[in-house]
Amino acid sequence: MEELLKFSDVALGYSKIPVLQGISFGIFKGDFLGIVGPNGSGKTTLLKAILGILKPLRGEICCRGGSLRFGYVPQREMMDELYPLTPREIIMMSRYPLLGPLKRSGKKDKEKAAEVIEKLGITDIANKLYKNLSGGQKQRTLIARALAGEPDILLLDEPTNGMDIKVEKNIMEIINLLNLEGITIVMVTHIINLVANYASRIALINEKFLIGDSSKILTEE
Amino acid sequence: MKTALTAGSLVALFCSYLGVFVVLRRIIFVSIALASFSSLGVAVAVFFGKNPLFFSFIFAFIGVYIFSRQNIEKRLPRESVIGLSYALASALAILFLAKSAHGEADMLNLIFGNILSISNKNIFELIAVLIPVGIIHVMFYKEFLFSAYDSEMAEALGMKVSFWNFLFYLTLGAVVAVSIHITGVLLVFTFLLVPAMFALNIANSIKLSIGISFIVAEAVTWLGLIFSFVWDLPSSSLIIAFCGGTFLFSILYRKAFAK
Repeated sequence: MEELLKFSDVALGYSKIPVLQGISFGIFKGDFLGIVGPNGSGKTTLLKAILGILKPLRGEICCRGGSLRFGYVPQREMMDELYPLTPREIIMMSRYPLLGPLKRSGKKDKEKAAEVIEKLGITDIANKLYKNLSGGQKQRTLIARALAGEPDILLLDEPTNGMDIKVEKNIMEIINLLNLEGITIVMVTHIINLVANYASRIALINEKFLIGDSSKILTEE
Repeated sequence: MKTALTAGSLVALFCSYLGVFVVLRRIIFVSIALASFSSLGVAVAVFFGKNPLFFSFIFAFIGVYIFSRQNIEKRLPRESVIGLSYALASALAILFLAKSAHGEADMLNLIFGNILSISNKNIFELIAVLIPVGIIHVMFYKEFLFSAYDSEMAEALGMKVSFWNFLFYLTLGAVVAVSIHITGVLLVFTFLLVPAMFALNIANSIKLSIGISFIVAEAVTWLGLIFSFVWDLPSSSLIIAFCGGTFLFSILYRKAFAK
């Protein structure tokens, strides 16, 4: 399998104080990698390093030749609901970096937005205000936004936090379906059971960093 | 009166547009701190007998440089440094003006402006600054919006968020600096805040918010200037009073019609 991203003996942290050390692993095309650990263990730190927002204190993070395009689904609570935006407007935003400065969204961008809106089943709410949506609808909007940018890797940070079991299952099935369609998934969660059924590999952050096939990691733990 | 209406309309137009982003970005403190830096520039210029507009820009841009940095002081909240800057700049401006030839009059001018006494030269200065700012905001509207709404996502997708934030602050600083010596600190701050508050309180989209913010700012400017002439009252104070009235109206409107 093609390796998209490689971490080699990486240390990550803030203000030169490491939170995670000795991290070595790769992300492969078509992977479904679950990053699991208790709250405060450094999962989101690792996610930020994958996204390139956080530079490593030590070690090296190598990208596949050419740059990778990321789709990022942040925790819902991080979204600012003061902005009077609709899901369609939020989804269009991830087309902006593809357009570059000075260019306006064109027909192709609107078609791509319409495509992901339909795929995520949010057509009926696409023009309503984001702040008035339910948790599940908001999450599907954020996944649609990430997909509209045509990513090589889709990263999700605690995508089912605060949801009831029915909506949680629905979101996980959407993510799994995207993976089966060939999209590389990296999902952060503090609930190991949640990703165990879907992820091909699990990275466990709990004092030490373990990574391997889901079944192997679950057995070891 | 004609020049006052032209200048007031231009300041109202640009401040009410930028104000929507000032409120959405939650940088209201930054806007008042920038205004006080800019007024310090005017006070320093008055004290040394230099060009107030030039010094207003220099001090506003110093403020832009300080406030656009994400980590101003790591061990303290960002707001505390902004608050200190506001208080310090305001105090220094008063100290400089206290020792100028027309201390009290200059101080009142700085705070409340004197929109009825501005010249055609002031209008040209205003236009020379506002047109480039307008062009920048038309050209980069989507970059400003995305980097403000979700900076992490924008950065993950390769956008230079710190650059777009700096450019936004720079245009804000330029508008504040050029407006302040025409309308005064208080009116600039009111224009940056109240029309946007009104608009965001009743509108369901950003573009509609910008449109409503424009209309409110223009309406209160014209009403304020006309009635200040009719009633012989200070224009800036009357415009600010009308602004406050419109916000109360938006609260009543929401209570009556909010879904």
